[in-house]
Amino acid sequence: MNEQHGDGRIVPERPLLLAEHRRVGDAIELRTATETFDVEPAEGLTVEQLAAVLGRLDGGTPLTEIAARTEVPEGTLRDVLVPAQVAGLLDEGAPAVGRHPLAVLADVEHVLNELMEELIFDGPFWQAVVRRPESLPPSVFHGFGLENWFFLFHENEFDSAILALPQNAGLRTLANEFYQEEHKHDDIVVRAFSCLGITKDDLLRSRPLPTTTALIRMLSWWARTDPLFFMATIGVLEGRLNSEGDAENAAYDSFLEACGKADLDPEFVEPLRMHAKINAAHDHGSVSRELFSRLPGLDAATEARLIGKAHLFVEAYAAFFNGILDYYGDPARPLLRPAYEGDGR
Amino acid sequence: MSGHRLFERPALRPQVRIEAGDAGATLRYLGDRRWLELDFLHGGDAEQRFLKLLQEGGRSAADLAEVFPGTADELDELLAALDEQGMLTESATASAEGLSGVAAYGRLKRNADAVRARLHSPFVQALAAGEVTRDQLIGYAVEYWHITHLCPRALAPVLARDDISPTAWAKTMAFYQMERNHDRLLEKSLQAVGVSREVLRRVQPLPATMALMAALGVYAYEFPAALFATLFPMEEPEPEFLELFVRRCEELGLPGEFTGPIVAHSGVNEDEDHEAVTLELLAELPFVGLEEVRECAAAVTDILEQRARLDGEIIAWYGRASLRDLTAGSYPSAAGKALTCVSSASSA
Ligand SMILES: [Fe+2]
Ligand SMILES: [Fe+2]
Ligand SMILES: [Fe+2]
Repeated sequence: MNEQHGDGRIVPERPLLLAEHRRVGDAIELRTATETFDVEPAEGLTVEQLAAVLGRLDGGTPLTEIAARTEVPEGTLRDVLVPAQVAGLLDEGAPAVGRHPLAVLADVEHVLNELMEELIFDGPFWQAVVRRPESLPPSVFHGFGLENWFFLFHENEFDSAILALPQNAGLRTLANEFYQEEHKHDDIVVRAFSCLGITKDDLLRSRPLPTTTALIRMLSWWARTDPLFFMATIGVLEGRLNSEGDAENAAYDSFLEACGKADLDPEFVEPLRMHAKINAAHDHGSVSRELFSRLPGLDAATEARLIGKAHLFVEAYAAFFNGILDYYGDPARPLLRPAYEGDGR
Repeated sequence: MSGHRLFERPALRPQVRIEAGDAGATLRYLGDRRWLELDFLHGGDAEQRFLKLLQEGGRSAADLAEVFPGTADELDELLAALDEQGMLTESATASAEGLSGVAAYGRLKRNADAVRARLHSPFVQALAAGEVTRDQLIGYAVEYWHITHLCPRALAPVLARDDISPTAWAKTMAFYQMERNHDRLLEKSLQAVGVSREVLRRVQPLPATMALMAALGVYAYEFPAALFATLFPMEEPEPEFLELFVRRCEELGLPGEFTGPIVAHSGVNEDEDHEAVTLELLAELPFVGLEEVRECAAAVTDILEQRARLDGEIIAWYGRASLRDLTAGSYPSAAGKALTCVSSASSA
């Protein structure tokens, strides 16, 4: 890995030398409270130049300026400083720049807002549910409930992966509170299916649509490999965004409204409504924001990563909804798809 | 929804369009998909001034309340309604304090030096005093084997992470590949004193060895910065130690085939500059929060203390018992007691 040192990004931009230095013959002696180092000038460098470089490591002068003042090429200068940096003899005088985490999240939210409109609310599922609920077979509504139950049932698979977060105690506390609040929400929704003759045991023997498992597994993977990004998605999953211009019409509520228009059994609708109310009462739509407000600043590469993945996430989320219409739109299909097919027993 | 209250300096998104008339304004976002109508109840000028400031950003809700034509509650309601439509953004630029990864490395290195200055190794002391036994030397090699054998398992989880830079990932992968077969070197050593690979697969590591590798492994799963930070205290070359070790092996008549690979592995670490790996990996992080740097420092200190404990455990266990093949035979309780009573004074 030696050759990598040459890129020089491993030394401070405005180095501050944490040692006394003095010339001893053809070398320089560096002295800290506990240690002494003898440094000989690197090839092509005079001891005077080395002393001049060391004299300018004041934490205020940028490397480029030190290079210009001492007539040591910047590349050489960086190489000269690497051993001192490895030994911990340098501090950084330049401030580290991180963007406000909520400013970063707001930019991610913009992408989410835009794509939610274009891919989700303009997509076949929500268009059908909002514009022509009366024309849909009840199986579409039941399918929405079922796929939502699968999602909630597997929610611990992703939520649990951010419970340990060792680098931020505030974040950890919030994540654990959210986890507790979500715990057993699947049991609220499961009651919706008793009027369909579907029990919890029936659900355990069945499996979700591939569009649902895709969303669940992606979230679980992100929660493990990019927890920050996963945290940015919670606000959307918990229903922060609206399908229409007025605040009363949040996505989940649009569904409940459509259930009313389509004249669905209240025994099916009420448990879903109860879950929507609990989410609203816990203000779960603000969870991403609360989590991000506990973060330190974020760098540009992190922001770019979050923005990029936000697109992929909404694609999966849109497919989750549209997959429901695609499958349950045909009332002849069974509501539950068995875990085993064929003669698998 | 109270998410809007989390903004330090709430502002209208640049993408929000304001269409002002005499009696009110319509705010539009995402074409005509999101909109909000405001009635001008205070003549219009005051409202328009307020909207301009909200568009400019840079003001806290309290600052905005001073120019808002209405009560603080009404402002809160307006901000909530705007946020409900996704129209608000954060205009504060300053964030919590942090360090560049380059600066963080310096702190961690100086922290490690300070910790090391107060630690002492019972194993090195015994070596210097000429008191280390043959079993203890072999025991050291066995624990060293555990470390190299567990190393790929401990590192691998970080390769699944998708939130480290491509360069950091490539360096970690290269490091993983370099470390992958280092257990073979130690197997050669141990073969020379009659400890076969089959036996090694059955023996349990000492608790401190396991704690060290568990720490690295857990960091690799969920705290990449701490994994990067703890590589250098694991990889620092220790030439003085090695000299004492080799001399004692010679005194006790251990073959050169035993010491050779151990010296060679230490040489690999030095040649490949494993110590600088931490710096190179941390340098990939442009901004690390102070809390995260502090947690990394705690992780580094812990690794150094575990290493000191390990040296004490080697003396305690291998001074009273031999290979830790705990699946067969009876457990040597005296050695177990000594092992679990190793003083942490060396790491006080
Ligand atoms: Fe829930
Ligand atoms: Fe919730
Ligand atoms: Fe190694």
